[in-house]
Amino acid sequence: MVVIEPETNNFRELVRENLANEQQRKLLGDFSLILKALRDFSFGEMADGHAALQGGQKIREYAVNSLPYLLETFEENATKAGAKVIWARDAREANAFIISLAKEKGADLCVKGKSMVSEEIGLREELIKNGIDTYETDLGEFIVQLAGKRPFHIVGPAINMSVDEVSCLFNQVLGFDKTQNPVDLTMAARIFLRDKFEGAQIGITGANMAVAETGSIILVENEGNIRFSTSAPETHIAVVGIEKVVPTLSDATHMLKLLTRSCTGQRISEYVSVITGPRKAGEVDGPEELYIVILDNGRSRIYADEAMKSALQCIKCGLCAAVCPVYTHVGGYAYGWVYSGPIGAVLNPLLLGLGKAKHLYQATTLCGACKDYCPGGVDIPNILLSLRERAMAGDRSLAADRPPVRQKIFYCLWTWVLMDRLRYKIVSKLFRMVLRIAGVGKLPILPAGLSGWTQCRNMPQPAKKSFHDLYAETSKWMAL
Amino acid sequence: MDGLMMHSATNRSIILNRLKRFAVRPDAPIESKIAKNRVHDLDALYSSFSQALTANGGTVIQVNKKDGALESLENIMKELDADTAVISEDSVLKTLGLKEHLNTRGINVLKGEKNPTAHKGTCFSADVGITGADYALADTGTIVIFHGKNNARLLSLAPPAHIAIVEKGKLLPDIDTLVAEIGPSRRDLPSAMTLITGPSLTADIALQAIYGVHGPKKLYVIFIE
Repeated sequence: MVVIEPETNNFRELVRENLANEQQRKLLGDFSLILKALRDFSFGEMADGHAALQGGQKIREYAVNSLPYLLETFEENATKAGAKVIWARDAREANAFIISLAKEKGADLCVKGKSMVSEEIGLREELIKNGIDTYETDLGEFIVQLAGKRPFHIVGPAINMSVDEVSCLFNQVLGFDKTQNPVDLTMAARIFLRDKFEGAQIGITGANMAVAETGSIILVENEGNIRFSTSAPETHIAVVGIEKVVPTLSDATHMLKLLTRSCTGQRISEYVSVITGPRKAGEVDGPEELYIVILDNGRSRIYADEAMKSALQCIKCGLCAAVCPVYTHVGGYAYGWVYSGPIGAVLNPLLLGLGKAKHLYQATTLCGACKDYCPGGVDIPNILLSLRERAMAGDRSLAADRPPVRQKIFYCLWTWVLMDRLRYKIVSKLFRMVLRIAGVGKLPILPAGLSGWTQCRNMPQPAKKSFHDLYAETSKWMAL
Repeated sequence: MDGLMMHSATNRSIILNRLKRFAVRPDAPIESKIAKNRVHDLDALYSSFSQALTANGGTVIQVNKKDGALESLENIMKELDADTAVISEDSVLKTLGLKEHLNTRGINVLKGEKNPTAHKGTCFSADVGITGADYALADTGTIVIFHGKNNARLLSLAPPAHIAIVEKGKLLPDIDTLVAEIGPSRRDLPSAMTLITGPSLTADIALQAIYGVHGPKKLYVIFIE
C-alpha cells in the first residue's frame, strides 16, 4: 500500500477520463437528484428550515472567529474528563506521534473509522508502512482501501463503484465468492471486519465536532463501525482538525440536525456518539486511554487570510458536491486529492498550495448553489474568486506559482489600453477590423495561442458598428 | 514519547498564538442555551417515537407492566431464534427479574464479565443484547444510552440484535429537551452518551440501504407504561 500522491494538477486529463465514463455520469445524475430531494424534504419537516440553516451558519462563523479561545476551553474540559490532548502542527508530526504511541502499546492491529482528516495526512498508509495492520471499517472506505483508490465523495467514498466491481474486488482481495447481491457483499465485509473489531488494540477516528463546553467529541455515523472503534480497543485516538470545535452542547446539537440532513437527508443518523474522556472507574468497556490529536496542517495559514477564513466553517457534509454542476459531471476523482466537490476546489489548493492545484478554482461556474445549501456558511464562490486573484498575482503566502511572463505582459497591455478612452477606441476598432478580415464573414475558431477560448464554441463575428458608434449616432438623432 | 509530548506543548502555543492574532474573544459565556421546559403528553410522544423509529427500521412495542414486558421479550427471542443473551445492569431490567425469567425459558444469559477482554468475548458471541435507556427522543425515534457502569457500550452494539427496555416516562420531545434535561450536569457527561435511532445501516454499495452492516441487524424498543 502506498501513499497516493496528489494528482490535482492532472485535472484536465482526469476530467476527460471521467467524462467518458457513461455509467458514472448516470450515477452522478441520480445521486444528485435523490440527495437533493431527501435533503429538501428533511429541511421542510423542520419548524423553520431556513432559519435553522442560518442559525447553523452563525454558529460556525462564531466558532471560527473565537477558535483559539474555544480550543483552550475544549482542551481544559477534555483533560478534566481524562482525555490526553496532543497538538500537531502538520501531518508528519501527527503521524509520528500516533505511530510511536502504537509502537509503545505494542499494537499490531488497528481499526479506523472514516475520517477525512486522517485521509488528508495519509495516516492509514503510514501505519501500514510501520507494520501496524490497519483497516478502514466504514464499508465505503474499506472498499476504497482494498481498491487502492481515493474517496469519490466526502460522505460516500465508493458510491461510484458498481456491485460487480465491488464483488470482483472482494473476490480478488478477500477470496469471497462473487455475487450480484449487495446484501451478501455487505455481510462479507461484516464477517471480515468483526474479528478486527474484537482484536484491535487501537481504534482511530476523526470527530465531527469537538464541544468546548463539555470537552466532548461527537461522532456521527450509520454503520456502527465508529462505535466499535471507540468501544472495543484499549486505546482510542481521535484526530481532530483545529476548526472542528463548537462552543456548546446546544450548538453541537443544532449543527447535528443540519449535518445529518445535509449529508443524507436523515433527521438524525442511526448512531451519534458523544464521547467525554476514556472509560471511568467501574466501567467494563470503552478505551482505557483517549488521545485527542488537535491538528493544524495548514489551517492556521488559512485562518490568517481574511478572504479564505470561512473555508474553516465547513462541516464536511458533502452536500456542495451533490448540488454542484461541475462535480455532478466530472465526479470526485477529478479533484485529484482528498477533498472533492466545491469545497475540494477550495481546500485542496489551500492545503496543498495554489501551485499544486492550479485548475480546481478555475473550473467552476460560480453559480453559487454550494453557498446556498451550505450549513456551515462557507462563502465558496467568493473564496474561488479570491483564489483566482491570488493565483494571478502569484501570491507566495498561498504557494501560488509565479504567473507566466506572457500572461503578465498581456494583462499589462490590456490594462494600459483600458485606462484611456482614445486608446480603447483605436485598439477595439483595429481588433474588429482584423477579426472581420481574418474571418471573411465567418469566424469559427481563433488561431493558436487563443484557441482555448473557441475550443467548444464559435467566436462570434464582430458587429459592424461598436456600441460607442451606435450611441453617438443615436444621441445625434435624439438631439434633432 | 515524552519528547513528542513536549513537542506538543510547544506546538500548542505556536498554533494558539498564531490563531489569536486574527481571532475574536468569545463575547458570551460558553454555556448551552437551555430550551424551556414544555408540558408533554406521553401518549403523543410515544406515537411520534414509534412512527419515527419504525420508519428507520426499528420495532417499537408498548406494554402494560412487568408481565407484558417479559412476554413480549419472550416473543422477540423466539422470533430471533436466540439462545444466548447478555443483559446490562440497568435498574429497570433488575426490577423485571429478567435474568431469572429468561433462564427458566431456556435462554442462556451469559455471565456479566468484569474483565474487559472476557466482557468483549461475551458481547461478540451473544445472540441478543438487552439494555435499558436513559432517555427516548420522540421526534426522531432515538434512544439515548449513558454508556457507563449500568449499560456497557458493547451490549447494545456487538450482538446481532439489541433490545432496549425503557420506562415510558423517559420520553422527551427532542434533542433540545435532552440538552435541557442533562442541564448543568453536562460537564459530567458519561464517557460515552450514545444516541441510537435504528439498526446499523449502510448504503455504501450502489446506494442500496442495508441493515446490520457491523452492529445490530434488529433493534427493538419496549416501552413500559
